[in-house]
Amino acid sequence: MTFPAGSADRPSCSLSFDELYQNYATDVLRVAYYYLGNRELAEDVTQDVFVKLLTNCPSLEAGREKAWLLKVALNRCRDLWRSSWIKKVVLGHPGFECFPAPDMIGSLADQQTLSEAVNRLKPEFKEVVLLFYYQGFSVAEIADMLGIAEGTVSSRLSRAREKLQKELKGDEDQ
Amino acid sequence: MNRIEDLRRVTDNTLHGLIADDSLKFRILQKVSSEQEPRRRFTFRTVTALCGALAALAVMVLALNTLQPVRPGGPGEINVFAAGGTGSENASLFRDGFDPGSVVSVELEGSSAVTDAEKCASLAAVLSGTAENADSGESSGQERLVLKLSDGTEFIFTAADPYLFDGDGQCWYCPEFFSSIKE
Repeated sequence: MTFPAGSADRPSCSLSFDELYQNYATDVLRVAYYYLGNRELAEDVTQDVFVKLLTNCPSLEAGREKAWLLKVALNRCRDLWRSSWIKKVVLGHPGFECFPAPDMIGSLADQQTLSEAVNRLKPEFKEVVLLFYYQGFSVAEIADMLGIAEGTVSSRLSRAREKLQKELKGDEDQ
Repeated sequence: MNRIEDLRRVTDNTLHGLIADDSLKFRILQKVSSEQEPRRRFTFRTVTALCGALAALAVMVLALNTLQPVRPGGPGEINVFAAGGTGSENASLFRDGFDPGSVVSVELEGSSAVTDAEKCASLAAVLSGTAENADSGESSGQERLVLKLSDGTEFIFTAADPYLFDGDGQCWYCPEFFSSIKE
């Protein structure tokens, strides 16, 4: 198959498509998977994000590429989550499946519990937790990406922490 | 117990096998390629259609600028002029005026025909100098007044002494002209 001429250099930023895919596609995929709990849908979201990158050719500031990719990914996840068909039929009983390395199987119980707890958070909490704790963005950056006030981001983070602590404590007690 | 602060490390372990691999990259490039093909086709069709429309418009403008006025076929018929053009034949005699010296014949059908250049110029000067626009008049006359210019152009009026009716449907009162031509 032949690809469109110059497709690997389409995004107007300092990195080529190959570099952007290599550096950030897995992060986009995992954030989408955390959000939706479904591998096929997470791959579809990742595909949509990078197709949009190639077809729309946005002007990406150096160092802001990942923020743009994750912002588009979260918007797409939110759209899918709001779709009643997706919620009822596909994600009716989402089971958060782990994909550990072969030598880690059997020693991940605690870690799997944390991942599952994050997956069970409501979307608005899940977004800030993933961006802050998983992707390492600052509160200000998250506020900019999600279009909400910094205070709202901090408040959601605080409430998400409380919920996670309760959940994890409950699991520990059992 | 793992803490939320460890989410990055925990995710790297729990989702270790969930990676964006080459097959997903291939899917993305394939989708981009398939989306761009119809877009290219659409652009080509749009440009072709626009060029066609512009060409048709250019032909119409060219045609309208080369059309000659349609001559009236008989008494009482009005002159029909096509749009555009630069010749004096496109103008109404009284509206735009003309050079009396260019008239080579004046014929009031059934009454008189003048071909003498001097007499023609004199009659034409009387016509263009004394005719007055009239609000009303009888257009039931059966005579035709035909003025021929040296370039072949003809001006045809329906005549009903002392009125003339031009191709624009205008009525002109010019008793001096009728007196002169009948002398």
